[in-house]
Amino acid sequence: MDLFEPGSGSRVHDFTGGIAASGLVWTVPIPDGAVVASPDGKQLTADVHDVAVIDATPAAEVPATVSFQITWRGRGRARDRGRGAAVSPTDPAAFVGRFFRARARGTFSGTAGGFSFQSSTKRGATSLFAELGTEQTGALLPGAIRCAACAGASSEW
Amino acid sequence: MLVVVLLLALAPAASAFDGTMPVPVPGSAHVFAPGPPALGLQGVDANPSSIGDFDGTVALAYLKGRAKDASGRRFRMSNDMRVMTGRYLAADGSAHVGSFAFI
Repeated sequence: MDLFEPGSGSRVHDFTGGIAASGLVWTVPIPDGAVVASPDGKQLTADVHDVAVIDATPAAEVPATVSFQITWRGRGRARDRGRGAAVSPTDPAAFVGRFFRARARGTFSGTAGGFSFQSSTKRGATSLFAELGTEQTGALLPGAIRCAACAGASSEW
Repeated sequence: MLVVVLLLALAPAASAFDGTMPVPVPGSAHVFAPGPPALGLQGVDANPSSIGDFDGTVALAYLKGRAKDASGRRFRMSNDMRVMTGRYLAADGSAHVGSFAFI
């Protein structure tokens, strides 16, 4: 979540989940009940409260918490996405999935030290681009071999 | 047979986060930016998940809006938000379930 000064356009707060030693980027666990999808997969709501993050300001990084409520509403038909194992595992298309283009709307708040913010509740924040769907990646791609020993064995067959 | 049934009945339900974190998406950046190239994004065939070895539901949104701090000072707000919920593998290859937010 980035906050910018309206006049200068300078980013003055950057609330993120941080980067783990594993390389996992800006990704934090949230309660299982925080994400609710409709049975047809075309609507999804995330209602998350007080998740621990950091706020990177021009001066320092400080512990912070954020809360957000976002609703995604899919449009039209779901489309196949990704190329799965047909591309390198590092390729952006190294996944398979079915996704709806969507519209999303949300409200956000956060605190860091003595600073706190609240997004506009009148209109909420609206999406420039949004999508939702299901996907598989890596060792959980359909037909993927999950262990090196198995992979070696299969290559000998 | 009875022992097997009892063990299955007593096994913890595999439906809640157990504290084991997932692995990142392979590659140097570990995250992609799906969306229309006209917006400077990587196209719709870019993976929206920030979790590797994943099987589940993903929602992504680039949102713009306005915010105020406690004193009434105004800001423009820009958020890349994603949520992922489903099955994943940890670094040791063990299987887990959980929900995550990309913030």
